[in-house]
Amino acid sequence: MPRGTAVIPHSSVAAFPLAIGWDWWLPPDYSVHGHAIDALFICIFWLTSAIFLGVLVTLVYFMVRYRHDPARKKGLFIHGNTRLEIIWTLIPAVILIALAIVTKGVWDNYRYNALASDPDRAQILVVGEQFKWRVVYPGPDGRLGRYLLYPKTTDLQWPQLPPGASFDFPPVPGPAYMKEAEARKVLDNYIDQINPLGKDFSDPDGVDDDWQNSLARPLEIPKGRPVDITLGSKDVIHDFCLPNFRVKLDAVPGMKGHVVFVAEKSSEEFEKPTRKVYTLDDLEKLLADGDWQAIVGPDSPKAFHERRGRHDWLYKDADGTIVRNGGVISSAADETGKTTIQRLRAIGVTQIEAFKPKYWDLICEELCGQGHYTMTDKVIVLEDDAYRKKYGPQSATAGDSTTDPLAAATPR
Amino acid sequence: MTLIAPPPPAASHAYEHEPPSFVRKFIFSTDHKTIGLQFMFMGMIFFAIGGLLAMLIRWQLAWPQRPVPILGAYLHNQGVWSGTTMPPDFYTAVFTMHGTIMIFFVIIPLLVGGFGNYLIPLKIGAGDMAFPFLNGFVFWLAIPAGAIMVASFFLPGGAAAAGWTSYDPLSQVRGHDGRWAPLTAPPYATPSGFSEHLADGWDAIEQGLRIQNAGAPDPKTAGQGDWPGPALVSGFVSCFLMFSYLGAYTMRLGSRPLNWAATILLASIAGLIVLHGIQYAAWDGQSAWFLSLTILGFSSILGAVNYLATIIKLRCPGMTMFRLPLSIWSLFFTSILVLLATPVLAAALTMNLLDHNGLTSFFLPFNWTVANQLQSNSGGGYALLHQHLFWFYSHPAVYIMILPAMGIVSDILAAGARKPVFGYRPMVYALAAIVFLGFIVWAHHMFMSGMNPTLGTTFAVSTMFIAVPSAIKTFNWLGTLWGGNIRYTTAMCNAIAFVLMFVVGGLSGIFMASTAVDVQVHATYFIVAHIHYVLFGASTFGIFAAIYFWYPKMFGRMMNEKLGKIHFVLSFIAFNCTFFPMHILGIQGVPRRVASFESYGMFDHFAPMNQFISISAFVLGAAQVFFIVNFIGSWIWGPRAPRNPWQATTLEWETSSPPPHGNFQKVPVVHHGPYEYSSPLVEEDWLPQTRWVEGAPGAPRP
Repeated sequence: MPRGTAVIPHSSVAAFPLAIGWDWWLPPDYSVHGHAIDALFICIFWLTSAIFLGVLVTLVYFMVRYRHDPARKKGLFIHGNTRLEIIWTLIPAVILIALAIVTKGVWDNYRYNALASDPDRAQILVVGEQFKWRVVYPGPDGRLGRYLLYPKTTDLQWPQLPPGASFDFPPVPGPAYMKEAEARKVLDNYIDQINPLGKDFSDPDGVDDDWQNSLARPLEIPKGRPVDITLGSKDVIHDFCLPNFRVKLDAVPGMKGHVVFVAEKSSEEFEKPTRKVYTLDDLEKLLADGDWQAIVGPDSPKAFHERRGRHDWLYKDADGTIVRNGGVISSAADETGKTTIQRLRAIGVTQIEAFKPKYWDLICEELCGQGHYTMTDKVIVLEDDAYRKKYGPQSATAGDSTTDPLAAATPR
Repeated sequence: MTLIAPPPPAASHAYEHEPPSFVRKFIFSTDHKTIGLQFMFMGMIFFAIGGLLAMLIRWQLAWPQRPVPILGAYLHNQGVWSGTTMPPDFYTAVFTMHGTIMIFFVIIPLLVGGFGNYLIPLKIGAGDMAFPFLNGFVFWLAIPAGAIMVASFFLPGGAAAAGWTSYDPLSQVRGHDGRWAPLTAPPYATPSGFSEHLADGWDAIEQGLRIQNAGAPDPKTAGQGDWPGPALVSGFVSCFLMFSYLGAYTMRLGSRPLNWAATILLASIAGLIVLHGIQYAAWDGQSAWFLSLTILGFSSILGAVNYLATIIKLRCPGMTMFRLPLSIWSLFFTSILVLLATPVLAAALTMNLLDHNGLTSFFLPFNWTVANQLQSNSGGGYALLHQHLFWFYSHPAVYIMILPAMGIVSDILAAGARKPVFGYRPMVYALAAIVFLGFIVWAHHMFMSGMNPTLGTTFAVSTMFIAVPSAIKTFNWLGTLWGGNIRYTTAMCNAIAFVLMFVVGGLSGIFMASTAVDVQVHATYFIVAHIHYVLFGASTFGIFAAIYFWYPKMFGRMMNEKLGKIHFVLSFIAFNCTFFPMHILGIQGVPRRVASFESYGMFDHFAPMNQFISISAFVLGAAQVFFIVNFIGSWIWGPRAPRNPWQATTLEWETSSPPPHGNFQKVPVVHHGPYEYSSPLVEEDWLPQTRWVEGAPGAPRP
């Protein structure tokens, strides 16, 4: 069977609402390849449930029917039945072989995704470190530079600096000219302050990369277009897991991983229905489920207009800004000790336009140390044109990049 | 294979030597029964420790910000915790040690060391193991391993906290004083550093083996590398005991006081030397973990050699291979697994230990940093190599943990149902198939590791296949019950629970065997549920069954049936309430090994379910009190046990309860298979193996 061909079981049979509002079933899936995975899961679920029920019923029946009866002095004196053995060897074997074949199709569809060579795919570099994710976007040229290349204490020259940065290197040509321990201290400072990603500043492809704010930023991906995530890790094995997109792959130091998937729904599709003008009382109740985001514009009553910063319109009081356009409305108290809603009420605002932001979880699913349980990030799916506007056109030639951002760093 | 043991000597060996001293009889025994009991008690003590760790896990997950009762106040007052709530690095160490202790110090010692030792010679009609002295050494080698593992809690940085799988590079990120601090260079790791210290010789090695953390105090003055008091004492005592065992049987200086004095002296010196070496290698919790398991691995391998030699060579006349009880077959196959797999673990652990001491970089790649600091032993290593080596052992290890229980359950089901085991030969062939296939499925633990996806597919296929022999065995167990005359003793209840829980655990394994579905369930609570269904639901209920069944033979007393039934019912219900909901958590994507779920928006609503699981876990722990009370109380006050209280057919029931040294008054002669229950040839519903009756089938077919 050629790679990428998935024998997809028909999933409607079992989209049975076993979740009675308690979220006891698979989480919603918003990726293309994920539907086949879910269908296979449901297949195996019904198969194993049937087997379990069969065994349970048989067992309980035997336990009751053949319990000790003093009148019956003995049990059946039988050592076995060869034909039965053959039957119950072959039938499970056939079922399991079939499962294995179907699995291969679904698995190949996920890991050997044909879209991995799609020239229009969006490439993103995700690097894990204890205990945050770093996300690097390739910039307008659509190409990622080279990363995770750190200087060594045996280098003859000091590492390159990014344009506009300055660093006090000692007055020798390179770290090899210094004592090991001292050279390492200098390089550690360089890595920490200037170049935590190990970026190769001499690479022309990486000049326009969006890497400076990579630490713990939300992962934004386009809808309906293949996303090619290159996975790396700086220190220990992490795992890039998007439960709502059926994506999971370990990020291993010294290796480069690739995951390609397509998101089917955008955050906006979930946010649009919630976007309305709310009274403050209504909004306060809704905040119990999580933070909302405010829309403040020229039509918003009692709003101020500020020329500083990207967000021009905002609400403010004597203590300062309450909430900007696109800012967070939270049920938690802020530094003034009051909640957003309370401060808005105090300045006489009675209603505000807001929406519930939709994002999904990026979870680290391989133990990476004591902060493993905090290593999460947000995933936001943007409409494709919004994504291209923000992160670059990703033209047809861009995806043709033969340079893997981690190729130089991972010789294997 | 019809190897039969050579004709026995005229008199049994047991009566050839003078009665042993107290020390040789009860402490440094070479009698397999005593050693078996020693392993059993070791396993039960560690079961309590591992169980306490489990309770801590469940407390943290159900009530993440609440102070931990008793332990919180104690650790806070000792200055270990800054408050009374559990810090996340402590939690990480707790689940690591829970898994490690339960696997290596509870299930394997209980099943393989305890019941393997006790049952093999008895059931094959031998007087003792092939190598009794080696047998004792196997136990006394396991004791320092256990001591080092317990000591690891008290070493700098606390116990190992990289999961029981200790994946690299996390297990190489050294902890010091509770902080995860990166390793910086030992002086000789680079050319410039090397020449400076070349002249120092021993000093260079000494310094290289210690940690030099940037900003940490000088190792020599800080006393780093020296173990704290309690750890030193337990380490010394355990090494002393091990060497004393050797001395007890090798010293021949003429008089007993002289032998004792020499043994004590030499054992102390040897213990001190070894302890000094241990402190170098095992300077923190993680390296102690590596060392402890390496030592335990040697113990396992020696034990496996003993079992195989015994089963192959010491069977009594008439005991052909296909007249062996299935418990012996399973121990035979388990020993093959141990023999072939454990050396690979030893290799993995040794490589890890060398990496951890900064000498090598087997698993540590180029361009490796921790907390933005370059690591000195970053070299061309491969992180996945550890996983391959580790799992090459650890997958057969899980079969090591289940196979003896399967064999024991077959014995008990036959005795309880008063019927031969259904499909004896297919059961043996299924065991063989599990052993063979068990060596070619290891990378199903690594589907998401980043290894080649095609490699994943090949392992998915082999993993699917290994479900077949397990299915065969399950159907044969059901067949054993069919048409029986079932007596519901506590042992029988536990054995039947084994079958059902094993089915659940095995079926959940099919989800993971499929690489595609594993995308969703890998590293989630679904795996935790699967693990516990097979290891607790199957293996542990199998251990309970074995204890209830052979307690009369071991201790000469009957256990209390009422208490046993209460223990069983409570455990069974609490066990299912604890672990079944974890399947649900898992398919939602709830990750394992996390100290709390509060960072994840999507799992907030599982707090009530977590609390339900924790309460069930506490009930499960409390239910074991009935077992302990029954165990100890029956030993003291239980009614005397007859020779064959269960009216079973195998050889151990032909000798007294407990058996004498040498096991049998006369070497038994076997005439037919092990499960001739309800035979029409005799009036009773059981036909012992040693009783000759015309027309009895020699060996069971199928």
